[in-house]
Amino acid sequence: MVFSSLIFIYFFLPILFLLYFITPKRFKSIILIIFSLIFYFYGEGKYILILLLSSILNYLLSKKITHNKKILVFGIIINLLPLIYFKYTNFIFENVNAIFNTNLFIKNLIMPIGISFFTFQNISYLVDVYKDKKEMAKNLIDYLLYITFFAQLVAGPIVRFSEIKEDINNRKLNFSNLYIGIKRFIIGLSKKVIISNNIGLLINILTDVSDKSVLLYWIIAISYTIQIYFDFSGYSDMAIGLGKMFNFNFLENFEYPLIAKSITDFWRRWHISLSRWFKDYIYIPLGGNRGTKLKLVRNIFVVWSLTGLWHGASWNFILWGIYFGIILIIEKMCLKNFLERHSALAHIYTFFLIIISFVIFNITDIKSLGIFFKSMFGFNNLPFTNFETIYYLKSYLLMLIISLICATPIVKYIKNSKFKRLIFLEPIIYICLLFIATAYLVDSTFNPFIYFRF
Amino acid sequence: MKEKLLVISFMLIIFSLMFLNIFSKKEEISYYERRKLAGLPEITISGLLNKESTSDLDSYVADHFFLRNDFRKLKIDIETLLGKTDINDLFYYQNHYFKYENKYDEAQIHKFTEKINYIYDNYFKDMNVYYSIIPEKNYYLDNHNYKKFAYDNLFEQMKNINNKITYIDITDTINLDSYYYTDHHLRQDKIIKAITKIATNLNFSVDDNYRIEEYYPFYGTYYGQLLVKKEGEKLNILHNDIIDNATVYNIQNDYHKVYDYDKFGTVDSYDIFLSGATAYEEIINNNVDDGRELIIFRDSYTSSFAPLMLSGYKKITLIDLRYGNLEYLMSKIDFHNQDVLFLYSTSIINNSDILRVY
Repeated sequence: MVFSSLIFIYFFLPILFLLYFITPKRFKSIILIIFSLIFYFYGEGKYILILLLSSILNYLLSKKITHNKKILVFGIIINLLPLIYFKYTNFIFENVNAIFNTNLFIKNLIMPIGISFFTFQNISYLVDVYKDKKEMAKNLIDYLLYITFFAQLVAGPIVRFSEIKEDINNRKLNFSNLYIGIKRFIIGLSKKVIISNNIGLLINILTDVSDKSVLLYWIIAISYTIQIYFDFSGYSDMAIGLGKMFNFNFLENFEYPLIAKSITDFWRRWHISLSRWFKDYIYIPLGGNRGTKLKLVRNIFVVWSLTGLWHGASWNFILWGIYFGIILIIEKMCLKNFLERHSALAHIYTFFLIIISFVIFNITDIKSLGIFFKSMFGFNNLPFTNFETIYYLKSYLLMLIISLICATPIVKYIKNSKFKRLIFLEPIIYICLLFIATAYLVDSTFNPFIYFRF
Repeated sequence: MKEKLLVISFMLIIFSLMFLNIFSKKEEISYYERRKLAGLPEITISGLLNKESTSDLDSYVADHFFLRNDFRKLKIDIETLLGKTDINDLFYYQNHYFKYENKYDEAQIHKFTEKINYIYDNYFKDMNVYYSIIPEKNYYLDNHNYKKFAYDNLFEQMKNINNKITYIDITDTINLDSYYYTDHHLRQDKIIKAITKIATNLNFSVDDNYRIEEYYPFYGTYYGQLLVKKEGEKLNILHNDIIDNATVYNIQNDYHKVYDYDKFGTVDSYDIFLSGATAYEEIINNNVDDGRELIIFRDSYTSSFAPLMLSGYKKITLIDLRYGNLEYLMSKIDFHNQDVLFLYSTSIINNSDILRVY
């Protein structure tokens, strides 16, 4: 099931609210677990067994894991095996086939949604309990709720058990949290349904246009960035909002990444929970910033290759990770001071590199990627612009402008300054957004999230 | 206060829409969208395990959502407000609803000409064979802000049709006003000039003294997709003694009249003409005992054309290759030097895979 679906908003959520609020406190976690499993089963069917088995196994392992390296290693391997099998087997086979001229392939191998996310949560839990027994879940119910809670199950934010331990044990009905949660959910829903889906539509149309131009490729490239930002940050907003409604406090996952002043800054603002996971569980154990420059370079490369690979079993994702690794090294070694001194230039530089990165991210075929870049930079004998480009640019211009404005904190500043007096209108605006998003959903039956495939 | 207002409103909305969606009456057909709505899926264990049931359930909920058409209208209004030039390829200009044709498809047009040549070579050699092209209404759209289909290229490519098949150009007999505002079809009362031009080529005369009967309100194909204009429009049908006395037989030999009034007000009111397009139909002119015969290879546009050609023929046979295979349909025909007319719209020519010729 996806958050941005009519079934979720108008059936799943009201029934859950009803049962959750009438259920005695000691059974509330069980209600959330049951509904989370229904949520996952609705979208993933039989793969629910993987989720359940891995959760139970991790809980059992954690009981004996503290300071026991063998169990830790075993636990990590056991967690990584399904991920590697479902996500990377055919990619490995493809490359083996290319080298050894073999014909290895597993048919109908579909990756269970959210496996990358819940695998990382399971591993983080094992590592944390290995280091300190205090991090352990009180019982299986608590652990199941941590892993399966529908708000963050399929696409994060990736949270540590210790961060929501308190929320799991002490949740109270809180009107203020409900208000914040609903607001956040509607913002996320609007980001996804009104902006991201529409920009996705523009990308599909432009990709399909027969008379292409240089400008058209640039519009596609910028649209890729807008689409993925609003898709994923919209999802994260909905997840955080839903968590809040049930009194869970998830960490922020996005902090206006498109206004970053460097790529280093960008990764402090983009998919924060994933960056933090890689930093805490890979980068720092490898030595982090300590040691020689060579070691630093090695550590960055390892982390960013893995980050790329985490996003998908394809060479373009590895390239995407290495691309960021190289830029981060350059920024650490020499660009940092320059970017700090030249703010405007730093914004342009960063935005340009982000746009390029999401082209790499979106085009899985390396040959097509080459053609795309050639066309973008005018090396493919295309006109700068043409009728079709202008037609679609005009048609989507306002949407693109609104998207770019919403990707900055401008709306937040406006809300907190001149228009503070009009704050009483806020609920009306949110309800209007809910109706508009519903209208978009009624007219389109399915809209999967981009980050579900990771 | 604002906290209470939002929380209570949100809860009211999601709960009331849940109950309204469960208990509201479910329609089988959407007249606005001219399609059958999704039925309640059968929920089975295997369907759930393989995710088939859940995706069907998503479609069912969206199709039967309470106030679906009002929500669709809201979406269209928002998109219009956002300055979208077209909405799902549809746009509104000068009182007319337009829909962009599919991308110009050279291969499809090539296949079309090959199919026509194949039919000619195999069934109609040495007979009087003609073809004419009905342009989609975008052909007459005079606004450079909208995308234009490469009609010139299409007409040029159509020259690959065997030159023994005579081309009748009717593009100069039609203009934008010849089309319904809310539909892609031509108004029957506005195609007399086109019929006259065809008649001149096929050597028969056209009755120009029709009685017009008005039907209202007519909502065309595009109306429910764009939901811009509230009013419907008039659908005029032309009468004379020949048309009123004629009988139409379908492939099962069931018969009906030329105009099927029961079809007006249904999902497709245009089906008032000949009860809509089917694979094989014969229109018999009962006002004459003997006379010439005509075979028309047709699409939906022909439904309003064919009755007006009855003045020249004892029998008109209509073949729709979208719904029947050529060989089978040809087996129904007794060949004896009939006139043959291929009358197709540009959208079918550009999507000729739909014609079951081979």
